[in-house]
Amino acid sequence: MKEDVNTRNDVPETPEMDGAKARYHIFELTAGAIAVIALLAMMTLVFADVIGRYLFAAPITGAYQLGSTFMVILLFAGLPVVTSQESHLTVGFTDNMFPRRGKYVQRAAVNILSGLIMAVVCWRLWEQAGYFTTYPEVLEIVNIPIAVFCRFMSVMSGLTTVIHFGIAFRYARQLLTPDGR
Amino acid sequence: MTLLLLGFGILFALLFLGVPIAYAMGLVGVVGFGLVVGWQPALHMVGQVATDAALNPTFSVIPLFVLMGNLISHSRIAGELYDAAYAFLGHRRGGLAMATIAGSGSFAAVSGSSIACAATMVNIAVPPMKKYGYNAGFAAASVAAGGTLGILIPPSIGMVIYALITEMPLGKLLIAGIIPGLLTIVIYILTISVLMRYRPEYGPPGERLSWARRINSLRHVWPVALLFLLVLGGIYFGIFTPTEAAGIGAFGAFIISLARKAFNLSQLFYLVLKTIQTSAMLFVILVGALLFANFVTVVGLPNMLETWISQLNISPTLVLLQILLIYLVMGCIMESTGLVLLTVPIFFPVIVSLGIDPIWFGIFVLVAVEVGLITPPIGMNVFVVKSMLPDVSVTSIYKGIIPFLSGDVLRISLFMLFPQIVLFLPELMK
Repeated sequence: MKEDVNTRNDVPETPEMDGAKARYHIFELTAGAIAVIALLAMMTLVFADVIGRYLFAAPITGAYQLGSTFMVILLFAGLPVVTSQESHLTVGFTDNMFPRRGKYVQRAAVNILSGLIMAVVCWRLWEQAGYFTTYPEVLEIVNIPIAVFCRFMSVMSGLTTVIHFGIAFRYARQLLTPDGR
Repeated sequence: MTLLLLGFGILFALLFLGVPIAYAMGLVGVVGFGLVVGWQPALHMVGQVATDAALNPTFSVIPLFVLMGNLISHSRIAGELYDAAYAFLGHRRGGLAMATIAGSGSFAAVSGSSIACAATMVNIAVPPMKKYGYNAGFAAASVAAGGTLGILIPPSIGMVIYALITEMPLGKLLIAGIIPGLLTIVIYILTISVLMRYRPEYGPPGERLSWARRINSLRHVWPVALLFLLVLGGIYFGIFTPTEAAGIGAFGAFIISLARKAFNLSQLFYLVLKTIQTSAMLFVILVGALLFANFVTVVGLPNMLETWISQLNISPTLVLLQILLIYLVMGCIMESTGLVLLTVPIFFPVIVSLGIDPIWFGIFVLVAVEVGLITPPIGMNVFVVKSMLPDVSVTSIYKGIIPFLSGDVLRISLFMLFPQIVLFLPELMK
């Protein structure tokens, strides 16, 4: 079933959210918590900056740069969570065309390919960090070198690669068990 | 040309095999770029594009708008918006369906996604329609059609995506959606009243409420109205940048949901985590689409299209109609975000060279995508509604959708004949 923006994991009504906990692994909750804090911090920061600027003529110094920092954290801490929840957007309706065992093969193959792609992304971001170490660029005011962001993005992409391979392994193992469960 | 066809062929094959849209577009984009320009620059492009996209301030609008929509969705405010619309429209023939449209429209003003809008309204609007003996397919269709307003009425995630890929000013795009959105509500409501002349049994009138109760129903709606006016007014008058407006919107929604005691701390955590997942997923798709767009550009597809169109001497209107047709067909196999990201880099240069206003085209694309969400054989909103109403058949929903599709033909014609409907407000901005 495919969707426009927020659905596959989107919970339509509040009561269902009580069951949400069971669907997350502890590592997902850890990465998730970092991202959640970053987003709430960004929301508060933007709000405080606007209020400060218009009501007290005192904008927050470095609000823009801090915002960028929070964005990088929330996006790349969120990436392994999306991946391990298998909630990347796909065309999807072909899903039901595969028989159950075929589905395991398909999902294992897709995750191996996805893992390889993320491995390249991980490598390229690491190289990008190297580039920014040779020609340093710094996010002003907060004084964080861009290279640090690239290293963080690279590490999280690497983690995503591992998760993809892990999912592929799980499907492969399900395929090999006699009853296919 | 061969490379291009091969690229698209492989892309669609990967998509059909279930490879995530982001990865499929990124892979084809990088390999294609590598074959044309060279592997070194292609690989370098990966790190460059990902870093630039992560640090692009416009993208920060997405998590904030998604958060705003999620917070409001879970504040059970949609029911009150529907009740207010019902108070004014419910006593008319087809009035509950009209209230569904108006309720969806007002919910869309705080939520940026069509599917979320339809999924939220289904539980609220369908039970009363059932109670008054509405035709089931028509009732479900009014929710599916009303849901499409989510992508048109700002804030809209679709507009942010369009702005990111075309580098158009997001503020103007958001403002441009207001009048077309309102016009759509009016046209859909008129469509229902016309339908009632021919099929009065589809929508029996509901109870008529006194003016005192009507006014009273507005009591719960004002926070949403205020939030919408603050966010959009701030953008319109140039007080806030879109990022700031989104921050204010999210914070306001946060306060509203706190005041309504909509959830406890742990529920809030999962709600924000959902927002993060949506944002990260959209981010990866954006990076994939940018890589793919670079490939399409170096192969020269936009140039080819431009030359082809000028050789055939097709009028801009005909080009737009063809683009519309492509969206309706593609809408059957792809969801809207992927579709916008895949097609806009190809069409956009052509549109600009034809002298069509890029802001106007943004609204046109979103309307086209939105109509694709309810068009047979595969309309995503119809399936969402259907999945939540197991006893209503897809065929009967499509039957109910037909009047709304005729309304869509009318409104797309109006947008094309009178582009000012779209451009009037953004042109007034500084």
